[in-house]
Amino acid sequence: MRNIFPRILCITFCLQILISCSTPKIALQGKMFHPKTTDDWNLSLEYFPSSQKFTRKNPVILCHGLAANRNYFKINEDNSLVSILQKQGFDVYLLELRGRNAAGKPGIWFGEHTYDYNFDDYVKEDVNTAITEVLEKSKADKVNWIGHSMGGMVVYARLGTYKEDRISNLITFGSPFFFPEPNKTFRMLSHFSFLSYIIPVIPTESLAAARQRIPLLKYSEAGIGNMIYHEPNIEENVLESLRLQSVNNVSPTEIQQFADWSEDGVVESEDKKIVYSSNLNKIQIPTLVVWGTRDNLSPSHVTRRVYDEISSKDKSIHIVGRSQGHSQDYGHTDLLIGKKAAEEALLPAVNWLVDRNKELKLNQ
Amino acid sequence: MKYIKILILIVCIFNCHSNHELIRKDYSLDSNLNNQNYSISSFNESGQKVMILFTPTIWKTEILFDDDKSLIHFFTKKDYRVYFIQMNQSKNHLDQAQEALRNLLRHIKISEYNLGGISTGGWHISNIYRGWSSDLPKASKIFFLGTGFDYNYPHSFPKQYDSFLENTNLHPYPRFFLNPGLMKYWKGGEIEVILPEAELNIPSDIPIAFYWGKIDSISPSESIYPIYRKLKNPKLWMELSIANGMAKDYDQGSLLLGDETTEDVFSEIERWLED
Repeated sequence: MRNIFPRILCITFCLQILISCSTPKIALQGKMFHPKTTDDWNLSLEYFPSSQKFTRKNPVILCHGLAANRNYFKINEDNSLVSILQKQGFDVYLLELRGRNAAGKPGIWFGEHTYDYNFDDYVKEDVNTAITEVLEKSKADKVNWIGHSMGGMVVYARLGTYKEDRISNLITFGSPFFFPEPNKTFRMLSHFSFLSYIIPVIPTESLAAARQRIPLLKYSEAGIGNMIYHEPNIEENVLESLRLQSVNNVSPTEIQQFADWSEDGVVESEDKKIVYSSNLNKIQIPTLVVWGTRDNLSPSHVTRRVYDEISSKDKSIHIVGRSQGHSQDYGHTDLLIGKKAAEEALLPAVNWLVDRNKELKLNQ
Repeated sequence: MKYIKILILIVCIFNCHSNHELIRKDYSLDSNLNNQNYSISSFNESGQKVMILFTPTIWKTEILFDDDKSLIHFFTKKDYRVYFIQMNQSKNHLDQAQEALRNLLRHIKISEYNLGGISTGGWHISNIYRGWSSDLPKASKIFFLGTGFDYNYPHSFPKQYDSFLENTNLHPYPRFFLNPGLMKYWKGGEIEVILPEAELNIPSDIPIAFYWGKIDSISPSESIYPIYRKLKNPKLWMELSIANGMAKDYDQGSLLLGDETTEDVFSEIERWLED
């Protein structure tokens, strides 16, 4: 037992070397801001102005999912969601929630901050801080919110539970808000959640990098890759960039909360006093729900239930899969970075947003 | 020459053992003889356990028995006597389905059977026991294989299917199934008159299982789950996918016939029926 810590340190050191080997560069770079939450965490907002002679009145905030940072919204460069929104005249703010490296990596054992945050912190603090900062920078009244996976869930929770009235339109890509009948792989992952009581951080960043650098590790993946993406639907270089640049460590309390949800079937606060899922029917803003027909983390029956329960008069669905004449049945992350995601998933969603953001300001 | 004869004999013996011969018997139980509403056939009449299937409307029934790996081959090998009821397209299909099952049960005089709805064939079962005669038995268990029910949402299968029917340039492969080899079993045709009502009225004491393919574009999980959620019956939700330990993510075609279907799908159904 006493030898375990040097071993962990040694493994971590080796994994860090693997990560620091050459990584592909993303050309799309914006201006960084680091707003501070009221509980003293730094977030990151990367700003990309409209690439047109005009700007649409309300800017867009993009928010990533669990175990991810903001980079996968940019990997596809010209075909990325950021770029498509810019070309349609939107000012875009790419958000990173707390615990992501760009705003200062938390300490594993010690430091100003460690990996001890959860979903409730995102909902209560981070979303609030991000909206406040973007409204101040853009001088707009409201923002549009686009979230992938957990990046959509945080806003479902905030809109339903807190009186958040600064979001004009919402688009979610593969965001579950119920967890009924989880499949075998999901249950297997939940069983490992006991580790969150033992280790101070879930080192997903290092594990993803190792998976990319050591091809043989694909045999030890235990179906996790299949839960996150449908590999044949993603270009190899994009997948490399996803693993090396877009994965972030996960807080153990955060992962424990997800495991509880898969037991209870609903999204709830850590103390279980708030059942966020039961407030979904309070959402009344225009909402577009996008789902991939092969998504294992937000299966289509779950996403349809989310759509059914939202009470907005203006709500829409965009299904991405063969049934709609698309090239592939899309997995969880393919929705943003799939080979034809730009035309089959992203453009239709952005067009939906354009229809609800007609008011323009001419750029000087 | 002697060796060649021996070789031929060995091959013959081998073939005898590997080919499971199906004997089909057709019934004439439809009272409407001029304009038949349904047809009934059976396989393996000596089987001890009874399974009654409502067959798909958009697939030819041969997909269920043509091949060694087909569903009916599998269950007859497991000592099942399999009856299948094929409904014709009609607005009264629910009443006619009930009549078909009633007539069959009266004819074969059994006390125990399992009922299966295959693909769109499951739609005929949605109200099968409404006003059921007390002298006839109800199914011990009911399973649905790739049957969707609630299509009340935008861009759902019936809407996609309508545009498919209107546009003669569109091909059912790969939109509705992924193996082009199954094209010979595709029937297509109108489905509007038999579309289900997004409800399932089955007595609450009958266990029901839903087997659905992860990438089934005809009966996707979102068209099944709202029904499943409401049911008070003992129930099973079975996703046929890699994430659930299967060889692949199943589409509608491979749910019915494919190399791994026997192990991943039919064996699962059999285990549940025997449980």
